[in-house]
Amino acid sequence: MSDIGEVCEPARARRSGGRASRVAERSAPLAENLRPVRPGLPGGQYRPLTEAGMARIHASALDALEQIGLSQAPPSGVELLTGAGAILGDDGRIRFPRALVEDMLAVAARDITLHGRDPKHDLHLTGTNVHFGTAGAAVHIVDLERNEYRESTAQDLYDAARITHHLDNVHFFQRAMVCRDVTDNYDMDVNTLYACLAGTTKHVGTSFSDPSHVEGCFELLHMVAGGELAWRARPFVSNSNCFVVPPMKFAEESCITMEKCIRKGMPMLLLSAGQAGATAPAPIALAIVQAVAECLAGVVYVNAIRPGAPAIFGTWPFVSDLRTGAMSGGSAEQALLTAGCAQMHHFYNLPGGAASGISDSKLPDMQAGWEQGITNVLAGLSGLNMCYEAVGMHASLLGFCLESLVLGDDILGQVLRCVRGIDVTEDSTSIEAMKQVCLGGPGHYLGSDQTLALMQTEYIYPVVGNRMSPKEWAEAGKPLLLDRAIARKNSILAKAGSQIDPDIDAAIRAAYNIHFK
Amino acid sequence: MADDEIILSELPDDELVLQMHDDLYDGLKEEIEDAVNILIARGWAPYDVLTKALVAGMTIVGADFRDGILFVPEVLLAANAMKAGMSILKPLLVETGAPRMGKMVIGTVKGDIHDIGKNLVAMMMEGAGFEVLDLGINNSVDKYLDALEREQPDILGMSALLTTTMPYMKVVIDTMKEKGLREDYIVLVGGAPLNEEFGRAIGADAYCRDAAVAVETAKQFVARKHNQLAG
Repeated sequence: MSDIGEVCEPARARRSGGRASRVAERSAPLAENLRPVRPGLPGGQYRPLTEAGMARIHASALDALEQIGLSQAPPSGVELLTGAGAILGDDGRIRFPRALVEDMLAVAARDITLHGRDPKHDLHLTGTNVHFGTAGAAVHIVDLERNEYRESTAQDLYDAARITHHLDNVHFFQRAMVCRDVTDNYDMDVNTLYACLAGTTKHVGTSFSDPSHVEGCFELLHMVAGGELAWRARPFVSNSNCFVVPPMKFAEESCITMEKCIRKGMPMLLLSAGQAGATAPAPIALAIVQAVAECLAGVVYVNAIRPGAPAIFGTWPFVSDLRTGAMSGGSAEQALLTAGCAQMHHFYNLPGGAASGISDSKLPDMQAGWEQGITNVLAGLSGLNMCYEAVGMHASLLGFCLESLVLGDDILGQVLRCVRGIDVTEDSTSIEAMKQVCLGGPGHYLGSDQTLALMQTEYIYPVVGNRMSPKEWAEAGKPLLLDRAIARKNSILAKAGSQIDPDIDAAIRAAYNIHFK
Repeated sequence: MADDEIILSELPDDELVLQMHDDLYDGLKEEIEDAVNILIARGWAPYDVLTKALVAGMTIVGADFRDGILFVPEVLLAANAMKAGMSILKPLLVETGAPRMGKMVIGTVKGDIHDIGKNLVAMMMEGAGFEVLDLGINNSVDKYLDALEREQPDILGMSALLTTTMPYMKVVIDTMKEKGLREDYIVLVGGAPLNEEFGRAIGADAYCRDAAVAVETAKQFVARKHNQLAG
């Protein structure tokens, strides 16, 4: 035994710079190689649907497409879809033979990458890789310091993007708020896009309120990218597109926008956002069937425009609170809907997204904590590629809160740690460390080499969350969680600048009517 | 890292002491042993090596632990390096009759088997240069009193994690009073359910919230005691 002990004796430790370097290290973000969690961790441990259950949902979705179909496609869509083999009925509905759906599933893009402007933020949507980010769009900002909801502005959106840029566990930024101070709709779309891009180099999602706005916004995109070729090589913005209005209707203008965006190289988020009990059926399984059917219609549409165009299978069924009919996003049923949808994405082996992390609470309080925690952890564990609405979203999508965005980063850290799971290796199950501690050792593991080596890589620590003892807490002046969140928000905003080159920014501000500073 | 090129024996005294502070901080046992031997060879008084190099270095470690910069395993690594330096100095300190930092007898009270906090205090105290005798867990009055008589420490430290066992601290202190021993020792108490009020009520000198506070409190009380003796 002593022989082994000597062989295993660690080499003489190297100097690491003493206090100055440790203080610098601890005040900076944790080095990438030490982080206990990262974007794209594989999930998939939670599977509320059985294989037989998924097969039944798939069969029902094909039946729905064949027998019910979708109405209200724009003329261009009718031409594309019927050209591909869909059938336009006398009732104006387009029905999809199952062979057509299967053919389009065969050519659909898989294992896609959603680019960040900085390649280190690229999202690889493959298998059960999990990413969390914002989405929207809320029409208010929750002003915690004044305890009120007020209309959200372009500046608020830019601030949310800048904060997101500095949060490790928020992996993409889809426009979270409507810029209500910008009254012209074209200017609003421009400001929405540019506020996101100026705030972060992570992947951005945006939408266009009218197809006629696409052209001008793409000119802006090309300016930011450094030309159309550079944009097409690494498209760093996806189009969040509500191409259907459930149940089983196309949204005409959104479809035209989709056609334009796909031709210009923009990845598509095919978003079907029904509400179980209202615009989607009440059974959780059938709500998933409808969302899957609508998104399969989207897959046919996208691949009829351009085979293999990158698209995210965006089954986003929400919940209706049937006491009032109001939309709800923070329930156990929501968590089940989302996890079931993630399983269906895996069933088709398509990159997928759904909603998790919405709070129905008006403020970042305990209700928000459980709603965001439960829905996000189950979405992550289900292996959902893109978890939208994961942070900052309150009042069932009506209000976005910057402090909640900061707090959500802590929630997502814990969620991602759950997704990562338990590393079972030869080292992590060897009883050597136990022998060293128990047999003549100190009787505890606090000072063991293994503890030292794993204290940051195995464990994730909250940034804002408070783990003080009651005594320390009292001595620290009984800090409140929200006060700490406000402080972190302010400290990030104080240092977070524009992510756009000043010359390009000046050119954009000269060409467009930009409403934020 | 370029720091590895540092040759301790070539550093002038003031730079060597600063390097020792950094090496303690990094928990480098062999470097600390080397540096202690170098200072002794240069004619430093063992007490100066202890206070200016080791204790001063551990004070920095303690401050950064308190401020949440250092993690517990890192503090223990530093304390181990400190102990290695101390074991070289200890015989020399006795030889030269230098004043001691102080000695502590510490243990968890009867009925209580929780000891991680107590262990942390013991290690931090050793790291600060105190001599520590750890009685372990589940200590009766007799075991405490025997140890006090045998070891003649400056400080008695008692710990309890349970509300059901913490009153036993008063039993120990009351017995010390009965035997006329209470004033001979500094009595420090700690443990999650305690507070300052409880410490005062049972007649302890101080309640220490955590290991870092225990070290600071111990230093203050020992210094006061030395001053009183000097006065």
